[in-house]
Parts: sequence; structure tokens; C-alpha cells
Amino acid sequence: MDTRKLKKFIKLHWIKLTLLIIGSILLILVTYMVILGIKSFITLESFYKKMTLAGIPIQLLFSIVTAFIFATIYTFMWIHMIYGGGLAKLGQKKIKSTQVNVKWEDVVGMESVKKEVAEVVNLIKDRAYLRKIGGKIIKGVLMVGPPGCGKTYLAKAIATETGLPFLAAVGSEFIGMFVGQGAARMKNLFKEARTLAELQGGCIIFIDEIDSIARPRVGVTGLGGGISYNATINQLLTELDGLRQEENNIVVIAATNVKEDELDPALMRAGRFDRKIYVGKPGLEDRRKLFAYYLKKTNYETSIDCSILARKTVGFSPADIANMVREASLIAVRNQREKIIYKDLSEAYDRVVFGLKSEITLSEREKVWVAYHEAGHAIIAYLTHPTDDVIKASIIPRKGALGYTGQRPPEEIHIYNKEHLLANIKTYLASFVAEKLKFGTTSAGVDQDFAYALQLAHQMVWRWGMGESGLLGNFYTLGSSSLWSQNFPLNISEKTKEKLDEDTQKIIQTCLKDVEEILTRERELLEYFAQELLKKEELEYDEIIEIFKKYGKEKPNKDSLPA
Amino acid sequence: MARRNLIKIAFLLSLLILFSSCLDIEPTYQRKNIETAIKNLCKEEYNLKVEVKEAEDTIWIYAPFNNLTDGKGELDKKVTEEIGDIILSLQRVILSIDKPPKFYIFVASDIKNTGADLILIGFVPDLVKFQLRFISRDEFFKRRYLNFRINPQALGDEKGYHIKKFNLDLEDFTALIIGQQIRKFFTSAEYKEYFEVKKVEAGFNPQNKDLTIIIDIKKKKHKPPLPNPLEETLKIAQYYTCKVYELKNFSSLRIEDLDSGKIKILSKKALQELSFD
Repeated sequence: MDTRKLKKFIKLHWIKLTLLIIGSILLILVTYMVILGIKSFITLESFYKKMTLAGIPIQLLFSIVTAFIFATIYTFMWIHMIYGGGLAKLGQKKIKSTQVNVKWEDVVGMESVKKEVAEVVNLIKDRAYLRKIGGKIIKGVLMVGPPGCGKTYLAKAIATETGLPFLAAVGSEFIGMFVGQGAARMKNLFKEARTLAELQGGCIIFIDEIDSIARPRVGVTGLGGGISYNATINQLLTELDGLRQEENNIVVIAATNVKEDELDPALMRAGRFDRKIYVGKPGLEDRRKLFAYYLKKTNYETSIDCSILARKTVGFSPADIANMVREASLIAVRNQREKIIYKDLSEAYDRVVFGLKSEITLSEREKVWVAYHEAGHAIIAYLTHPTDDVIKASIIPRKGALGYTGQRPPEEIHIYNKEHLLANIKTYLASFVAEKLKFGTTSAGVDQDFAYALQLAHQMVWRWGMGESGLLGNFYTLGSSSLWSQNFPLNISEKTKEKLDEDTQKIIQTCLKDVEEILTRERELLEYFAQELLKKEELEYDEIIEIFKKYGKEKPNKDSLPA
Repeated sequence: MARRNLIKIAFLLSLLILFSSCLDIEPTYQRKNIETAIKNLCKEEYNLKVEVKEAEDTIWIYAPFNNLTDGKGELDKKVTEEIGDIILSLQRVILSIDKPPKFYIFVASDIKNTGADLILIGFVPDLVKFQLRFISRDEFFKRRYLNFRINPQALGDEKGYHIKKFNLDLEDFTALIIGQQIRKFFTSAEYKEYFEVKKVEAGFNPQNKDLTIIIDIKKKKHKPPLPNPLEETLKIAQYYTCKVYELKNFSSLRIEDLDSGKIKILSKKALQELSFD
């Protein structure tokens, strides 16, 4: 045979050859040992021959029993791994839909969302009918929305309504220490889902916080973290609609707080996450229903008007409302009451929004300082803000802040115009001006206020074209972004950047000037307000209104707020 | 088709293996050649020279040594090894013979220095039981009689003429074992500081089928609770006569305690019915 051909043959089949050689050696060794054994047996004395032969049945029996035990253990472990066990076992629980038990009626409010979701439920339930028509079952449903708005709750309701097994997982569970662990877990999850789907006609997989594994795929650098991350998404993509895909009754529902465009586009295409449902914060009516729903589960005064509560809690998510009711019940218990009264809910509201009272004790001088600081915020917010009301002013330290001024619109606002934004900036700057006016100097307490003011002014100019120079455009989009770097503009000339920064400063300086004018003019009001704060430490909405009324100041926005 | 045949072959092979122990295996040695067999085995495998003599159902093996003990009064290491080899050869032959003897008596003599005999007597069925793990090693050792005595007649005796070869009976053997066990009991580490063993003799009288045990065991120190020599002797005697060897040719037991002056005589039946709580 040609040496070249031989070399090629060895190169192609070297593994087989190696195994063959090793196998042959082993066979020869075993044969030799058997021959030796037989020879030794023959030379044994008769007593020992009999002993050896007599021992064979019992040894055989032990071998069979041992083999049986190990085979059982191995089979059990194999089945356990197939059905979701093993090293790559997730913390996911196999939940029956009856165990989830969140009925449609338990999902309060979000009627439009429920309508969309109901459609999804019907599609899942009637998949047989759908297949008859020739339609394909939806693969994935993505629920997007801020935290605490009921995405997980909705997913549970879907599971209960469809009556299908429900596998729940969290995105972070797919992030493991070893490369490939996430992909393996994903594979196991879908394997288990396929088995359940075969047995029970379908399965729902719910992946919460999917953004932890569903962001756009990254370049591979460093220690291989990128490889693992990509592998996990790739596995998910394959499972949803890959090359080896076969029709199965698995629906993946995912929930995330981030925007759709921050997720990998391959996941978002049709055929994978077909449906995107936006689950937002509840409106006025939904909040009213939520309060009614949660209060019904407690012992409460029937005189409590849920509409008032709904109006007070603009911007609250369902989780915030549940938290507020829970806090109120704890307050009632602490005060040894059997029913929740309005005061408990009010106090609970303060706790949820403003936080618990802090242990910090301020000196008298510091209290004065804080009082003027907060008075500045309150007065400017009251007099200049087109929408928001000042609902509370306090010099009691909470949540790490030495004082605060709470403001809130009477209803949801979806469009923020220039005046609104400028009024916010003025409110932030008011503390600086108030301190300067009163004490002739300022403090580091304006740190956060300046940060907000600057950020807002920056966005007005750089994103929303509200600068004086007339430069228009969203300059943020001209930057690059990756997993490890923040968005920053790259393709802008230094001249343009300078102009934009100048515009930003102009806005701030203009606002500052306005605030100085107003507070100088309303110096008496400032003094009175600060003194009242010092006296009472906390001023509620109606007390604030009284102060302004005393000085003949009416709020331009006439929508009266509940106390 | 081929697969079916393979299964059939595998099945037959398994049956063959399973029932192989039922096959009749020819004994390796013949009783008529027992003396040469033992001698040859010792010579060929261990290069040891022994004298073997058959006395009815008892096989005698005599091994002369130049130095049986070392300078400290213990058995020489090399001698111990060689004795072990001889015993092993003896066992191999006895176990694989067509008609095994009942007893084996091994005598190792120091023919050069001290003139001493080391005597080991064993019951062949006990050996078989031990090989098959029906009795433990400790129990097996208890059922062997071991004695060491100074005997000037051994000096220069390469053939074992100074040993009188006779056929041992089970009753005699039992008596030896009982005597050994009583002595061992009261000289053990647990009791030796409390008892002084002056005399222990056990013997069997074939004429009146009487097993006689004479003991003279004195209490040195008092420490409750200490075993009673008479009772303990009774226990040991009952164990070996009625439970271990189930002597048929024995009708009564007589124990004489020289220390207390008590004598106990029991019939076989009474001995069998005795219980110790």
C-alpha cells in the first residue's frame, strides 16, 4: 500500500485504530489471565477446586444483585436528569396550573392588556382548531413594563386559564460560573417542557427578567464570559425557532423591565416572541379597582373612598398599592385597631413614598437650614409648576435625606412640555437660592438638586431641541453603546458640543434668575413658610394651601387634591 | 438466527457455570499414600524434611529442628514460618484426600539445643469447618491442642522415635481441649492476677466412660465478681462435650476441686440440662 495512502488512512481513523489496538491488548491480557486462571484451577487440590466451584453460584448471585442495584440507581439518575435534574439543574419548579391558581378575576384593571392576553390564551387553548385551519401556534409572548405592574401575575393567570403545566424560571438562573452552564440549563428547561407537553398536551415556560440573558449578543473578549452569554441566547433562539425545531405545544412567556429595543433583535422577530404586550402602570380607574381589591382582603372602614386613594397615588404600580395596603394594616395592628382607617392609609402612603423616619437628629441650626432649603422648593413648585401640587413639606430626615418636599400631579401626565420641564428645574434650583438669600452662603445639600437640574437641562438641549441656539436633534443617538460602555456622543464636532453645553447652562441660569426674582419678591412668604416648618416639622397638603392662601397665592391648576 | 444461537450458547454456558459445583471431582490424594503425599509436598514445595506416620485414624507428623526457640524463650521466626508451611501442606493433603483421618498430631522437636517438643493436635472436621468459614479463626484455634514441653529424649532424634504414636479418640481429645481451655481461662490477662492455677488435669476413662477433671485453682485476691472455678469448669466441660463435639461415648462427668475440696459428679443427661444464667 502506498505510504501516503497509509498515512492518510491513519490520520482519518487514528481514534478507531487506537481503540482497536487497546481493545486487542486488553483481549489478549484477559485471555492470558483466563488461561492462567484455568491452569491454576487445574493444579488446585480437590478440596479447593470444590470450594471454588461451590462459590460460583453465590458470587454470580451477588454480581447480579449488585448489577441490578447499580442499574436501578443509574436509570433513576438518568430519568431524573432527563426530567430536569443533574448538574445543570435549574431552581425552576414544575408547577401545575392548579397550584398557581391565579384566576382571571384576580387580575385587576389593565383591561386592554387582559384583552390582548385573553387572545393569547384562546390561541393556546384552541391550538388544535388553529392547526386545522393551518395556522401556527404562537411561540412567544413578551411582556414589557415597569416593575411591579403585574407581568408575573398575568403569566400565572394565563397558566391557570389554559390549564397547562407551568415552568417558571428567572433569567439570572441561566448565568452560571462555568461556560456553557446557561445553555445547558436552557436546554434542560425546554427538554422538560417538551416532555410535559407530550404528556399533558402543552406547556408554558415563563422566564422572568429575561433581559439578563436576552440583551444583544456580544463580541468575545476577555475570559470567555461573552462565549457563555452568547451560548445561552443562541440556545434560546434555537429552542424557540431553530433548525431542529419541530411543532410542539410550548409557549414561552417572558417578562422584562427594559425596552424592547434593548433586547436582541433575533429574539424579537416574528416566529419567536411574536407578541409584545406592554404592561404599564395603572390609570386612575385601575388604581381605584386595585385599592378596592386589596382592601377587600382586609378589615377596613367602609367609609374609605377608593377614588380618593386612587387620585392620591398617581404613578403607583399595583405592587406599590398592595404594599401601601399592607403597610396600612400593619399600622392599624400597631395602633391596636381592628380596622384600617384612612389615617393608616395616609401614613402608609408616606412610608411608601417618602420612606421611614431616619435616626438622624439634626441640631437647631441644621433644622433652620433644612427648613429654608425645603421652603424654597415648596414655594417655587407651588407658584411656577403648571401641573404638580405640593403635597408635603418636611424637615424630618427620611430615606437618607434631611428633609423633603413632595410634589405630585393630580393625574397622569404623558407629555412633558417645555414649561413643565423648566418648572422642574426651577424647583430644583429653589433650594440653592433660598439658602443664599437667607444665609448669604450655600451648602452641599444642593448636590442632588443640582444633579437633577443639570440632567434635565442637558436632556432638554441634547435630546429635545429646547436650546436657545436652535440646534435640533437627539444628539444621544450619535454615540456608540456596548455592554461595557455608556452611551456617549462620538460624531459631533467640538463646536457643536460647546454650543449645546452653552445652551444647557443658559437654561439653568435663566431658571436661576427667575427663581431669585420670585423668592426675593416672596421673601416674607419664604420666612413664614420656613418658620411654620420649624414649628410643625411636617406640613401636609391642606396646611400648605392655607399658608399660600394667607398670602393670597392661588395655584394656577385648580384640580383639588385629596388630603 | 445467529443472534438466537448466541443466546442459546450463552444460556447453556450460564447453566454449566451454575451447576459446575455439582460435578464430581476426584480427590487429589489417596489415603493409602498419605504419608508419602505429605512428605513429598513438604519436600517439593518448602524443602522441608518431615517424618509421617499413620496410626489408624490419626496422622502423626514429626519435624526436627536445630533451634526451636530463640534466645528469649520464644519460637524462632524462621521456625514459626517453617512450622506454618508444614501445617499448610498437612492441611492441603488432609482436605483433598479420599478418606481423611480424624486427627492430626504435629510434633516439632528441638533436637540440638534444649531437647523440647512442641505438640499440636487438631480434629480434622474442625479444620474443614474453619476452611468453609463455619467457625471463626479464634474458635478454630481454641479447638486445637497446643503444648510445649522440655523433653531431653528429643535431643538427636531425627526420626521421631521418642514420640509414641497412638490413635487418638474424640473423648481423649475433648478432655485435652477442656483442660487447655480451663487453664487458659484462669491464666488470661483478665484473671491471672486473681487466680493461681496449681493444677488442671482432664482425662477420659473408656472403661466407665467417665470424664474426670481435677482442678486446683486458688484465689489470690478478692474482687467481686470473680468466676467460680468449679462453675467455670462445668461450663467449659458442658460446652465441649455436649455442644461442640456431642460426645456419644461418654456417660458422666466428675470434677474435683482440690482447693475447695468439692467434688461434682453429673450424668450426661444432667450435664446436658444444666443452664448457666
